[in-house]
Amino acid sequence: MVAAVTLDSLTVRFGRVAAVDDVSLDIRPGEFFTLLGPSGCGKTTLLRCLAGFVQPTAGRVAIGGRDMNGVGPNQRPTALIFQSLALFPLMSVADNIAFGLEVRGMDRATRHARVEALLDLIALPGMGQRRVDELSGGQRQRVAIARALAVEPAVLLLDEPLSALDLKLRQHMRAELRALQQRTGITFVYITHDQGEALAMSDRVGVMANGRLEQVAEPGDIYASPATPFVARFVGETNAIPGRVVAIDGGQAVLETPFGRLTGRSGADLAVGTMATLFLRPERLRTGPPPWSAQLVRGTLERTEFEGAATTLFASAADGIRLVCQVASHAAVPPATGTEITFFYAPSDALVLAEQPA
Amino acid sequence: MNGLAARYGWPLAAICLALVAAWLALLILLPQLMMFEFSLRPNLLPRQLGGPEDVRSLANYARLFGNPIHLGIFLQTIWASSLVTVVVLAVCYPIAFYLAQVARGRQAALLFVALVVPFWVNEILRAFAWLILLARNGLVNRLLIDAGLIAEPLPLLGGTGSVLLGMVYAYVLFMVFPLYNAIESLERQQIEAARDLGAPWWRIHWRVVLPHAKPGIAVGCIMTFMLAAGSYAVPMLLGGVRSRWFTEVIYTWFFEGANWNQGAAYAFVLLLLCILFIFAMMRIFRVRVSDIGR
Repeated sequence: MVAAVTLDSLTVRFGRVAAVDDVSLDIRPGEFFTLLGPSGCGKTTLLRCLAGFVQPTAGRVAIGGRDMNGVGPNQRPTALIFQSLALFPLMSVADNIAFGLEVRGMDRATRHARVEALLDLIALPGMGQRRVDELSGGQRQRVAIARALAVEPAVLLLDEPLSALDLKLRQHMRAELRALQQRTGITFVYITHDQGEALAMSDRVGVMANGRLEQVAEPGDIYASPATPFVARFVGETNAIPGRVVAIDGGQAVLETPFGRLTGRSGADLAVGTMATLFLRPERLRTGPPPWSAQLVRGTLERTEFEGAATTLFASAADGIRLVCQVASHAAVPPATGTEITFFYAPSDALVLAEQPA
Repeated sequence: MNGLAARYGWPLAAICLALVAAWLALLILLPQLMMFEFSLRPNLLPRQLGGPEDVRSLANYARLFGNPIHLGIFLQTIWASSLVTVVVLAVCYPIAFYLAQVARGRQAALLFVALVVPFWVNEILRAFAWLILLARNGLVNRLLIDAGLIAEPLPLLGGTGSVLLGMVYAYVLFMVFPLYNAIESLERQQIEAARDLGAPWWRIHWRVVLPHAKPGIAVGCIMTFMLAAGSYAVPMLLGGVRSRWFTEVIYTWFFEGANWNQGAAYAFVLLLLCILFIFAMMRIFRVRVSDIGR
């Protein structure tokens, strides 16, 4: 099976800065692939490279197995949905959607039929003659999607299209985008800095930092088994406890930490004697009487946040380490702030990752 | 007006309004009305003033349409000014687009300076510069002869061509800046979106950039046309007997014919033409006065 998108050692430099640094990646046909990273990590540059607006300094982009070197944005089988949407304000909704078809020389009647079908698809039937500025944010969003889908792209590129919407609408559009992707079967390449969006919608997520691809995996694996300390910190909440590796045995690593010796699953490239960090999700940290094999960490409870189903406990511990623990609200009444509290976890729930030499 | 009063208080607001009103009435409206009055009366000797011949009529206006030479010059002026406008638009659109959407930082600043610096020189001097370039033994002819391309100097001056050239050069800025302002406000991503959807460059301009730039085009065309139609120095210096401009005819009536009444009538016809042109432009480009003000 030919990959929908292939990146082969792709590098983009602006002057001395490598915005995209030696990225290799295969995106499968029909996949919802998300590039997740903080702003400035190079994800937008990478997307613009796929669209053809940015030329790679080195490496190769292929779409559907075809080398895209020297192919302009107007010749590529991609469609880009801009962060600002970039709808044409002087054209009606229908003219916006039909623009790509008009460019391809499609006759008026066929064009009209296609536009009507697309308006149905985005649930805005009969809105074709509206002006763009008469639409709400969510409706504009959908028009931008329809305009891009009209040209039947092999790959749809989305540049943080939901970032301008308010929270409720964003969550609604998330579900809608996902449903649309599954209905059309088009490969989506979506970029965002919002990890919630990435985890909720994607088949696979690629986490980017400083122009490099840190990890590519399914959302569950990204969350449960981050490959690097950056991914562990960037995706979801986490407890990070630094220490020195004292033993590695049978997939487990023992770390000398301010809390004493702690055990967790061993990540890649760990060596005895090096510095490492133990990462632990808040919901894996528990309170109450620990079983005998559990790992213990102690701290002073600073505050609690009740969030409905869950309650989050924030504690400070030795060496300025902050602990975050999430418990089910119905399970226990949290102790008063200021009390000494003992948390425990199972070694298989923690992950020890080597800190890259800074 | 209430807003003005709320901000500055009634006394100051009243002074502002009075000054504007005085300016409009004394410096614009009143002289124009006097010229209009002139244009309706016959050119009489002082002793005939107030006599039986001193009545208002449209005879001065009728004279223009009864004089084939003057009418010809008038029509020629309209035609040539329109041509200047079109050529200036064609020259300036790529420059304005480049400045507004392509050029970056220093590049844009340098280009701006290069465009503006020639306009620090007086219009008459710039027309003279063309005179020197295009004269019978001027720079252009010399270069062509030295290059062996022609044997005899070409008559570059004195025709419509040299006037058009001089005017295009003289009015470039009045088109570039309105266009630049309009194109600059176009979100760059719209151009990219059009490209991304498969549009070739000409279609991007036709469907996205030009419609957006319409108010700027209208303003630029109006300014250029009015300046060209009302120009005096350029046609006088670069034109010849074969290419008289309507302003030269008006000048002649006023200062050589000593017939202010006839000159005023001609001037009003020119003014009317310019007003009509403004309305036509606003119709063609479907812009309102408020769009032009932007």
